[in-house]
Amino acid sequence: MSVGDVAGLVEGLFRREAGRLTGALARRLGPGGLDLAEDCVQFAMVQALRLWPFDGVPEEPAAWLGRVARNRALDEVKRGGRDATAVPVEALAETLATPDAAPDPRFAGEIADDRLSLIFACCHPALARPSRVALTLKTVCGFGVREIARAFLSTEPTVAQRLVRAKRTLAEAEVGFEIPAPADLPARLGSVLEVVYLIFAEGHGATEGPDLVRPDLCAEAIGLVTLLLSNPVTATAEGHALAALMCLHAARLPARTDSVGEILTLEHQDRALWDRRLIARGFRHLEASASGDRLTPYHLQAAIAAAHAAAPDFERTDWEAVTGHYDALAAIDPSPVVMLNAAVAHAMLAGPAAGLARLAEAAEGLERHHLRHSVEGDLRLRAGDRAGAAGCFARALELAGSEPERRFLRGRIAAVQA
Amino acid sequence: MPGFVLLLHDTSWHKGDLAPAEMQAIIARYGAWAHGLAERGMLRAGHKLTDDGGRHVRRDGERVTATDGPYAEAREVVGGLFVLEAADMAEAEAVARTCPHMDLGWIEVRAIEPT
Repeated sequence: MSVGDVAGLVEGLFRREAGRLTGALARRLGPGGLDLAEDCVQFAMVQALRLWPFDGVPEEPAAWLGRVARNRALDEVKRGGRDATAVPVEALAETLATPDAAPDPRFAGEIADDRLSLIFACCHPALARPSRVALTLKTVCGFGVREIARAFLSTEPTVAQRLVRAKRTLAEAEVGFEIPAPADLPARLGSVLEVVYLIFAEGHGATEGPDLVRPDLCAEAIGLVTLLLSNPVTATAEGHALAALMCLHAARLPARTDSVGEILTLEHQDRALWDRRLIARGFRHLEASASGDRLTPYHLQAAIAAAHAAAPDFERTDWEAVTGHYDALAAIDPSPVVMLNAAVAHAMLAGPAAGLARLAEAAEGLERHHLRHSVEGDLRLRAGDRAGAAGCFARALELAGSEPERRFLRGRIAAVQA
Repeated sequence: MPGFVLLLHDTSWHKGDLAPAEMQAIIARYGAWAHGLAERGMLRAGHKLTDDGGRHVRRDGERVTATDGPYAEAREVVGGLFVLEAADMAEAEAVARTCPHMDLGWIEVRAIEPT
């Protein structure tokens, strides 16, 4: 190895290893050990940052990081500097001394379990939802505090505080790092899927700020659900449904913004730009989700996404199927986005008046939602009511949260008035 | 070609504010930077110095004393160095400006006295 040799440094290595090593250490340190685990992993990476520029990247960078992190953990525990671990020092020394298993495929299951255990801990119901999301992104996905703050439009100190409190809550509740027992698994899994979905939703359509889309967040979410599905204990039909919907939505991302970064709605997207491999993957997950007897919101959303993916263009979409799915979805999950999309689907099936009627029915609670006014504007325009449409777009503009969305709405207003 | 030494002074970044992806990016940039220098035949050596402050040896009249140097975390000590060959100070300085260490501290550029 020599100065400048970085051949072994594959894309995303540090981020992946951060999650993997934190999980491995936390599992061995036991309840309350997350803080120490994170610190040891950070220490190892800082050491790499200080040494590798001079020595070159070692042949097995992951193994190097693991060794340094484990030795650090051992030193810290022996020093007695942290008494937040439940496991006695001698036993710890033994488990920490186990050689790093990274390259050996026999241990692949063990490694996956380290990360799975960590995900379940981070998504523990004792934590507030935003804390579960932040903690998962930080410890499992290796995101930095700055990145998390940007993604969720918070500030670094706020996120940092949240993480500190979350880890303290887990320590006080003595939350362990293992895959939950069968009796607890369904509820705990529900929480994990929810966090994964929140991460994906944020990446797919960042609600505020300069970026509409954060593909890296979408990729992380898909990676997390893939991990869940890789273990038979945590693989469920619902997980497959979530994976399906995420793959199918993510497949459309390349077509979602045009060359200058403006939003293109589904109607106007160039379907040739959709990622066919992701679509195929989505359909495989959809098939796998068709088992068991629970029809979850993820199932219905996936079915809707599948209908769009299968259609050659917007007009030739199977709107009857889509409206059917939306109606079923609205019955169990009457969220604003669902109601709005249902209105659009009904308009495509039976004309703008039908869509406007659905919108009027669902008006309660949607008044301050900018999309509601944007959708109504579109429907009014289709129905020939230009003045009404302009008014709706203006109202939507007042409420819009992201810059791309505001630009889009200004464009609509200009087009109506032209 | 004249020799120059780049002394890399660390500021207190190693408290761990950097995210994993940021750290990897800096290492990768170091690789590109050093590779570029090596290709131009400019890089003679690079060494990381240990974190302990080393020893300071002084003569005080008749006596010679040796004390521990300040530990790396205590103040901005030199954490590492590169030895370059460059046409002149301007070129050496230009190389220092692009060194990824600029994200982590500051660089002292010194010319080696020609023999």
